[in-house]
Amino acid sequence: MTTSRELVIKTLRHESVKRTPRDVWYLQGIDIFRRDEFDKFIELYPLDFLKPKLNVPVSEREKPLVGLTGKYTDAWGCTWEVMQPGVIGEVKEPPLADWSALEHYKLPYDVLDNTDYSQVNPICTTTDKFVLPGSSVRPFERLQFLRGSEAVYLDLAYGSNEISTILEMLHEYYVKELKMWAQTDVDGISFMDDWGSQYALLISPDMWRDMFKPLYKDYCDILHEKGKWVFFHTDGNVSAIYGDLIEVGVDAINSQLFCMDIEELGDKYSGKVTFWGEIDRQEILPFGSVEDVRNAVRRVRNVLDKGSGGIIAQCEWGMDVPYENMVAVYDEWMKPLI
Amino acid sequence: MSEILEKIAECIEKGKIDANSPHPPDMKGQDGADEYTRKALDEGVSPEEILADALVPGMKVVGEKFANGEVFIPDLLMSSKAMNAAMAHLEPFFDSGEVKAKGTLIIGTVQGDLHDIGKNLVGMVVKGGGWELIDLGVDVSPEKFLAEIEKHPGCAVGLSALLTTTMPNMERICNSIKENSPDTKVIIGGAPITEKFAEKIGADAYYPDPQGAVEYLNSI
Repeated sequence: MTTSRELVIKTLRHESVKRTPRDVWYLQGIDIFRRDEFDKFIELYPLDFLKPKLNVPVSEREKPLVGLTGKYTDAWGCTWEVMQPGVIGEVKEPPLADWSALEHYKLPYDVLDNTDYSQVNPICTTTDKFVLPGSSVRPFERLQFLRGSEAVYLDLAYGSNEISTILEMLHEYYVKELKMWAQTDVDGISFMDDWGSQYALLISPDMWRDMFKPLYKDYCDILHEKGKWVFFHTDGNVSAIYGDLIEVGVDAINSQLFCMDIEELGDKYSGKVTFWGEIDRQEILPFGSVEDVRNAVRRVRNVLDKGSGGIIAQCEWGMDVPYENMVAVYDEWMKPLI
Repeated sequence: MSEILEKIAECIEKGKIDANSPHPPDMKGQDGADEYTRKALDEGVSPEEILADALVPGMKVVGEKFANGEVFIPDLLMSSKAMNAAMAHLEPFFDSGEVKAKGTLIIGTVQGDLHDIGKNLVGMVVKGGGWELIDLGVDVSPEKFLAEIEKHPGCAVGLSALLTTTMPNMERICNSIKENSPDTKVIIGGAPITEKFAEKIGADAYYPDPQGAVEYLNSI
């Protein structure tokens, strides 16, 4: 019998698979407020992926969220504000809003250097699932959390020395983190950055290629060198850099397919990358009927699912997504291809 | 258009703030919107002409290019900075009433939502389109919108939301505005917002990009 791990690897290799591997993402609020529904869902559709547990120390800078809303400060010194229970919130106090703070700013190596990975390899040995940890790697987003979004866009336009300095610091940190992961027995590692608005890239493709593509290439090389599969998540319309992501070595991309021309993506990139989901979470999943959801899954499968791998059944369960719609996604996805 | 007005429009379009600004690299060392606006006023060009024939058209080009995916957020922000540098010279004329804005847009991110970059981009382009902008910030209640509408008769309102979970609040605010001030035009926007949603909640318009909002405001 094919194990979950074998199923995912076959999918990533674009080999014929008996069924599409399953993954699901969910907002923290689902875990807090809708755990019963989630457990019921997982019983119906067990996942093929497993995220290993880590012992991550608490940084001196961290100030936890007390209750479900309010402010908290992360290990990087970014202070977030949460208005709705169960969502990550927005950074409202970036520690490098004033560049004068950069001189004494320290990245959270206290966390990275003291993270306990000892439970990772035993899990990899005992599970037959595909072990896929996330990482903290998100250079563009972290820049925004550290500096403030508008300030980062202006820095990028000015080409300031400080933005290059902090980006180099971040890259060094991320390289170290990925090298640590690469030494473990996990199957793949994911990283992320949101690059698109609803209709276009946030910065010009040329700027992206000049400043960020080389960093991503380094990340992919580090992981591939140790035989790890590279997973990447990005939000928005990123069709302008889809080919670049594949070129640097990303094996599976999670993107908002419904912000883009799915048929065009299929024509251009089917067989070249694995589509790691997804189904529209801005309209269809929260507000659509079960039939709307089924139609959306059918559309994705018609274009991207040829029965020869290259697609993972995945979507994100937001607080306003009905249980029935979640079940419909996976029920439709598990039907045999016609 | 006179040469100096063309220069100002070019500075707005390319985001050249002043002589010290290194952006864009191909205009390094050249005067920017700041210096050219000062010079234009010194040469006797009327502030109204500067606004109507240089700033507004310059910002319109950037807004259209942004809508078409030819320029991106950093470019739009730099253009807005250049616009602000030019506008600083025109402020006294606005204060004295010699120059008048086309109208007023009250803008805010709806209650429960803290996201503001989309709203801010729309605000910049609207302001660049010759409109007075009143930005109420994020997490804005219906009461706050209504209080501000009362202070600015004839204004329009722009509502922004990024989260699907705050879209119901957008609907509540829109209903509240329409109940209390039926003639006030309401424009909505944000990543998950669609024309269909605008129709459903009775908003007057939805635009996926800032320039669309300006064109709509100019048409009412």
